[in-house]
Amino acid sequence: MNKKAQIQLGESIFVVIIIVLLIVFGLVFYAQAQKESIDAESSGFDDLDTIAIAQYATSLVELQCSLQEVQYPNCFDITKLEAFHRVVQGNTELEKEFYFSQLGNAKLNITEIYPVTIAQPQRSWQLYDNQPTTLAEQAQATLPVSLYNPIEDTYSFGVLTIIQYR
Amino acid sequence: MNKKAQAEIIGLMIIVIIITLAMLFYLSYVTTESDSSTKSNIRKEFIDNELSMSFVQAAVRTTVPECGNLPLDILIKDCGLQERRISCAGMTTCEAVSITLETIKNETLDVWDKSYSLLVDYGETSQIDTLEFDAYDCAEGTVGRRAPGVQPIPYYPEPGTAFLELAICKK
Repeated sequence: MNKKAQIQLGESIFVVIIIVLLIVFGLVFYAQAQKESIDAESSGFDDLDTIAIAQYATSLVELQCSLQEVQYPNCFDITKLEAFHRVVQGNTELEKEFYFSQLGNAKLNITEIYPVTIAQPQRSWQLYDNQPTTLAEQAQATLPVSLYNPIEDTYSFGVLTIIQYR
Repeated sequence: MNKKAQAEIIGLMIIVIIITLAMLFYLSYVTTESDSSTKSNIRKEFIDNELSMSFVQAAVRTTVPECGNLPLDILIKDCGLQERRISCAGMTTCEAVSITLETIKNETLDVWDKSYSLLVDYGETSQIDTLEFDAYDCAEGTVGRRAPGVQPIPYYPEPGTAFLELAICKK
């Protein structure tokens, strides 16, 4: 092979290497971009899942406030909460049987915010707790709710906290 | 055309194709990103709107022990009409409204580190000024407000309506 042919072969090999490198860089960049966009999308859906859980919890007839068969949105009846808490407390099988299909791996807690005084200390009710054995990530959402006391006919301001485990 | 010229033209074409493909990848990435950012904004907006709507709905129903366990909407109405029919342990109903909302927001919105605008607008028919809470102006790093959660409180049978409004600031 003469020198000119050798140089031309070298050029061709060099060009092929550059083209392969460009394609590899392009693919890596594209894959990274796709991954980021999928992660962002997935995190957004998780937020919506948390809100969906909150909406499901606030529409549970076994906990909702009702007066003459009219149900109030975003309102929990304290007597129903107490009764529910007593029934499900420590009974994870019962919680799973009825609520796992809708609530999944999550923790739901209601805390009374106002009025809280020395005479009437802050109350809290855990509605549901199902933590997975291996904990990766968790998303939290809070939703203001009313807490109705039918015995005293009063409404407290409370907060429903949802922790979703993924 | 000799062989060398043909080979050079093919090389040039390959380069043009690669550059075009790179541009296409880049454009597709940029449009996907802006699309996903729009979706993410819609979700954030939905979550903030849920929060503000739930907040005002729960707040107006809340009963105030100092005012004989009357709900906040009745107290806002009494304050706006200046009826002064309700006694709140030595306070006026306007003071009771202000203290109650201050307490609730301190324990919720402030704890959650939200930037927000919370106000009680007593309406055009009322002589009472709009009650704006100290964090009324959106904090630095925010870009305007989301659509507020509004709870109207009619003065019926008197004319006019008061409004409790909460708008979360966009981050």
